[in-house]
Amino acid sequence: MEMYKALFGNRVAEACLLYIVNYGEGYINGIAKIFGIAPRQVQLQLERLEAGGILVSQFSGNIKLFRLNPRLAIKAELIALVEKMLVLMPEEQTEQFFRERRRPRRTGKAL
Amino acid sequence: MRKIAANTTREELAAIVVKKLTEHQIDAVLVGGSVVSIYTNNKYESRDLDFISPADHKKITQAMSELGFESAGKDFVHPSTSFTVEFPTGPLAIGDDLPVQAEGHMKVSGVTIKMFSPTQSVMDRLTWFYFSNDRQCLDQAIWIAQKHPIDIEKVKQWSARERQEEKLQVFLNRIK
Repeated sequence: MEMYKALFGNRVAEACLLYIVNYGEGYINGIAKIFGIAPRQVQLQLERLEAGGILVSQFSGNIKLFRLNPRLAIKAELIALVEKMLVLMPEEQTEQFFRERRRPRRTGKAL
Repeated sequence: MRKIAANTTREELAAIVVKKLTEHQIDAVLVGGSVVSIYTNNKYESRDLDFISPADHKKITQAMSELGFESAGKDFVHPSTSFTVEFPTGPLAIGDDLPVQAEGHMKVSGVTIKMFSPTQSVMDRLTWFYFSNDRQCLDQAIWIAQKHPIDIEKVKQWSARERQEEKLQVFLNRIK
């Protein structure tokens, strides 16, 4: 939405924040793949948000995981805002981008 | 009681299984996605019936084979139904709360099926939202809460024990 783009600066930053609030964390290629955005663009926005103190990052193996900065003074308010954006999103968009199964599935269990 | 057939419902199948288990003095509680399906009138559809039972797996396998189920890995499959039955490792737990007692039940064809209550089922689903960031499970918890009275105080107290007040707030905002 144009309003959100204006608020967050650009569409990629908006997508990154939606993804990270929705799933709790995110990495460059994962976010790029689900939204069909070039990884370099995602990287630039994640690093911009990190430099601004909105996100923090940590390596898990080879993967750099980004999360909301736990010390961000407006963390609760930012989560509430992004959660509201997620709720107001068209259902098909929610299903397409924000409902990946994250709970474990036993090895060998049919999908 | 009906025989297991292609049109056997989830609830009927649960009753058939529980009746047979009871004949073998096996206690079992229905948990997981099937309970969500029941409480949401199939808004979320699970094809697995998960029972937690303290009984020995050999004893369970014997009872299930008498109903025509075959063991396929950890699942029990039946040639006449697409539902599968599984007995995940117990004890009955919700997050770090264990063991817990099932507080729900339903009666089908004279058989009482022990299961999670709507409140317990909400907490069970929220566990996956809290610890795996699974939004599907958050949706399921919301759907249950929209259809059934929930003991919100109990959910709050449990969430505090799990140190998940922030994510609890996401759930509470969605059911307002």
